[in-house]
Amino acid sequence: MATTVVAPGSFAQAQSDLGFSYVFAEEQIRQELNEKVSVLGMMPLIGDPVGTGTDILRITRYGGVGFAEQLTAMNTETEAIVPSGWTTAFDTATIARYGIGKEETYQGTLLNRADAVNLDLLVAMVPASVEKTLRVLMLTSATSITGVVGTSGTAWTMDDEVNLITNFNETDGFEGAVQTWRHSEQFSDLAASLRNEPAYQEPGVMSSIQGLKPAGGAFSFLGMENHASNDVQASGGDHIGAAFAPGAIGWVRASTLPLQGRVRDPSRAMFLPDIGLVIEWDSTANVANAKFTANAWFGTALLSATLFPQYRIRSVND
Amino acid sequence: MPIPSHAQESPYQIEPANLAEVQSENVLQASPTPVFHLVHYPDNWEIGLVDEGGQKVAYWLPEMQAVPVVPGVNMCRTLRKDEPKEAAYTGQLAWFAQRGQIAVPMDAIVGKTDCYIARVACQHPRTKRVGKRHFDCWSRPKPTKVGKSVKFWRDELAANAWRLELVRRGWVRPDGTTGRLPDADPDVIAEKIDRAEYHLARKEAETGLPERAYENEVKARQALLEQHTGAKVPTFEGVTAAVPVVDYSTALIQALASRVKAGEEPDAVLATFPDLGPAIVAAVHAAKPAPKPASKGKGKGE
Repeated sequence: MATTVVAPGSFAQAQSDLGFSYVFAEEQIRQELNEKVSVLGMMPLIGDPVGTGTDILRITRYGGVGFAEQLTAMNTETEAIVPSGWTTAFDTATIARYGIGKEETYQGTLLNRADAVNLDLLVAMVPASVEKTLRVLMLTSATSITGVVGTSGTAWTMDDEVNLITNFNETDGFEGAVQTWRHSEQFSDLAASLRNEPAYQEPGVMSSIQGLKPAGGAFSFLGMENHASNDVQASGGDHIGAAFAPGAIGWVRASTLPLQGRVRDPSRAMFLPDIGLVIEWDSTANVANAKFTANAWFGTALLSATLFPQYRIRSVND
Repeated sequence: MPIPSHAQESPYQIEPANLAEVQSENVLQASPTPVFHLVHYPDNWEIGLVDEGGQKVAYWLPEMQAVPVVPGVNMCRTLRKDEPKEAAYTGQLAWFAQRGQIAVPMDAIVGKTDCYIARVACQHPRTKRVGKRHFDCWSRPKPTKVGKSVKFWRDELAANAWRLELVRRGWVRPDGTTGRLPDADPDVIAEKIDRAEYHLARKEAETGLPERAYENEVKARQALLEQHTGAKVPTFEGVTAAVPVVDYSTALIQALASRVKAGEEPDAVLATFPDLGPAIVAAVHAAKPAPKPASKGKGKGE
């Protein structure tokens, strides 16, 4: 149906027949905000059960000898020395199967603009999803730590921070390095508590503690390597952060290389054996649908406090 | 099931974790979370207030940590074919026991509470992944904005009353097995009182604070120390005498026996769970199917 354009010709009259409702800005499609902390470099790889006949790894340890044992003073020149023993123990770790998939119709692939969210863009995001999953698993492992600092239902304070440091300092054999993982709100509570601490009321220090910070508000304090993640687990109205010597939480993964001879289309499948991942492509012609499916095998394990000192950081979630 | 006494009604339908279906279409905008065990380590005690006849009385209560059941984490694993659900976490329960931690079973009946887990239908706001979010039964989720953590209304008094009952009476499971937590170690309590005294002394020494802030800080720590020294220490009073601390043998035997019946060798199955008691080992070996008798062929020329 024709539109009569009355003089003077205006944009308002022309737009509906000759113009656009909108055009896309000349920039690449943007991704929404999300936490991008990777834990892969922070957790030691404990092992790989591929080809072993089991899905359980055992991490062994011994103690009660060397620096942990002193010689016995003998009473006489000829008193017999009674041989002493030692201790052995182990921790265990296992893997589990994880997966993710996305699908798109053929028509979507044909008609979507080049700069759209399509399977090619999404498949490139899968390794980041693996890193996010490992972060969640690491923080879930931490919920089993037996030692705890902080009280249910109360905000974290400088007093709690001092208690945490004291616990590590007073641990036999502690080597001086601690990593903490806390919810961003736990760092906010600590910063709020520091407002009443005379030692931290100098303007430069106050600005550094209370000011804007990236990555969840973690700040260096009292020698601990602090990290923030909103994937910190919750329990009974509290955040459950963790502080541990590096290495307390490790991960295991099953290399996916043996699957190269098993997947349907090895030429298109993507193998990332270092993170236990395999991505396969598939399509269903009668419903004109294509998809990719990612399978991964990994797990995390908390190792003994006799090897790595560790504490949960418990404070209110409000 | 306890309802928070101070909170508005949650807009979401809350149900005990053992209900089959959720009826409401109103879903919490948050990612699903797994079920969990409430676990106690004997050194962990904290002050909690319990309502006794309208008065809030301070008790030393066991600190309970919610440990999620997540495959691949701390000896939870992906189920094998035809395994019962409990097999996913029986390894984790054995791992807790090795570490000296005590897990309260999900179906433990403590006082009037028969399941400490509640759940609500949820949907991740971005991925639209649907599922159930599990939390303790004394909490109710508040409406959550995208990008923010889920917050809860929580009935602390009810939760503390449950913990007190847990110490005093232990628990009973539907299958009749019972369990309890050990009483608080007096040395552990004394150490916590020492820490409270230290923090009061530390604040009293900080004379650089403005006068009003100094008074508030010192008063808060004095009140905390008084609470620490005045809190009651509950002890086990259960009428059931000499109960075992924890008994998971029934569920564990079922899980291991199902693997033996499926064809695995008992020794291989038992190797997965070291340090099991002789009763469990014997039960797993007994589950091995008897070999079929050899069929008698027809004799030739007889």
